[in-house]
Amino acid sequence: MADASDNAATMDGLGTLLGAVAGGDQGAFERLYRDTSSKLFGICMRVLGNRAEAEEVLQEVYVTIWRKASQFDAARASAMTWLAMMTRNRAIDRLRSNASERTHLPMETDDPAASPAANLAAEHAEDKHRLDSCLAELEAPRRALIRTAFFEGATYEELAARSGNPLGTVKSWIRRGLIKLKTCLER
Amino acid sequence: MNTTDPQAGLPEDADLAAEYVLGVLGATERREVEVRLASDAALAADVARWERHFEPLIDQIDAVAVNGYVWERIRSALDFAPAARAPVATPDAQPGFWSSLSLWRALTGFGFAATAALAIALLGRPPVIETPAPIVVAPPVALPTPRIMASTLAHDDGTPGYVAAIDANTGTMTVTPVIPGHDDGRVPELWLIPEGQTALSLGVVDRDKPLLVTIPESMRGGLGPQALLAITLEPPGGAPQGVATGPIIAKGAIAML
Repeated sequence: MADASDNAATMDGLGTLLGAVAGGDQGAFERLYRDTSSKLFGICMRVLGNRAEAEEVLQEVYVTIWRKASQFDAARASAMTWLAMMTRNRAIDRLRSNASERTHLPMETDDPAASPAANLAAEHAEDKHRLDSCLAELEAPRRALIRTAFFEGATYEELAARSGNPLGTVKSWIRRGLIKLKTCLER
Repeated sequence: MNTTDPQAGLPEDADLAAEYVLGVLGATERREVEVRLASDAALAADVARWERHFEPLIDQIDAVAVNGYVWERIRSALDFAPAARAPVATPDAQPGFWSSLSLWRALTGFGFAATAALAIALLGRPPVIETPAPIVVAPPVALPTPRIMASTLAHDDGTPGYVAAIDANTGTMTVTPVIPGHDDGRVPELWLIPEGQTALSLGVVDRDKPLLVTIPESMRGGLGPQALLAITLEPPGGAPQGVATGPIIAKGAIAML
């Protein structure tokens, strides 16, 4: 199945689909599901690492999309950003509600096999490039902390255990890393 | 864990929106942020900005194909009319019409009547025996009266967990997972609990596909409206010594059809 969600034309179309979904169009909802579910499921799987839980979160997400599509604000975020971040937030909330320990897992390494950037829209590719170059300005251990936090929704405590650093150090590295990142991204 | 964290008391160091979007906050702090987002426009704008900043990382997350039954569950949760098909190819839909999980899961949304109708269809024995125009006159009492039973094993919140269709004459039962529950490494095991008796194991069932279970002849007498079916979570391989060790995650009465 093609991962159409990275495709520029689809990204424009998603906003239109969300508008139709807000109006109660079940056909549009089905198309939205077809176009986005594998990507959103990938996000759930990355955070939760468990198929049954990821499926439950994905179901919650689409029920929310159906009911709250009208809350999508194109001025504030692209449709894919809205969908992806909502999915990620739900997955992280689910993760927090479990007491499962993941402290034995390794940290994320640098960008191993990122999906090819060739099919990204030009503007989007520029954003990606900027984030990559700003992340590259951080020292490797801090970058690994930030990547692990983002991809897996890991807490400060989990990151401290996984990276073998004291909690205070991890907090300060990440907080300062975020400040540097913000300066870099917004300059 | 060291709780006298030297960095903890430096709020000017912390960008709450960034920490929220990054995903490092604990459950309580996340909830606080989410509550504040509804009324704090500045915080909401900061969160939106950080979401845009981090969005390119989403591209690095691989898509994963979703099982077809998830779409059926969503439709069912939203009370949509029954779907004729799933919108994506369903890798789990090959083993024939009657054992299609999507079909069972979709129909479970309709409730018990549909389950019962399917149970009859599945077991291939309508309760009323039709006699098609015979060429040769059939022997008068050829077929035993079918004893078809069904059970929806529900979770505590009422959602269906598994559906069982039973032919008590042959002692065969099809157990189909609907919402099988969290996979925590343990396996679902099926139990028959005849009235006033201890649970009898019917073996481990599958959380991903329908399973045909043969009920031992000695246990068939326990089938009936007074009996329960239940699913517990057990170590891989099933409950040791045939005694349940895990919690009951789904249960249901057996209904005669």
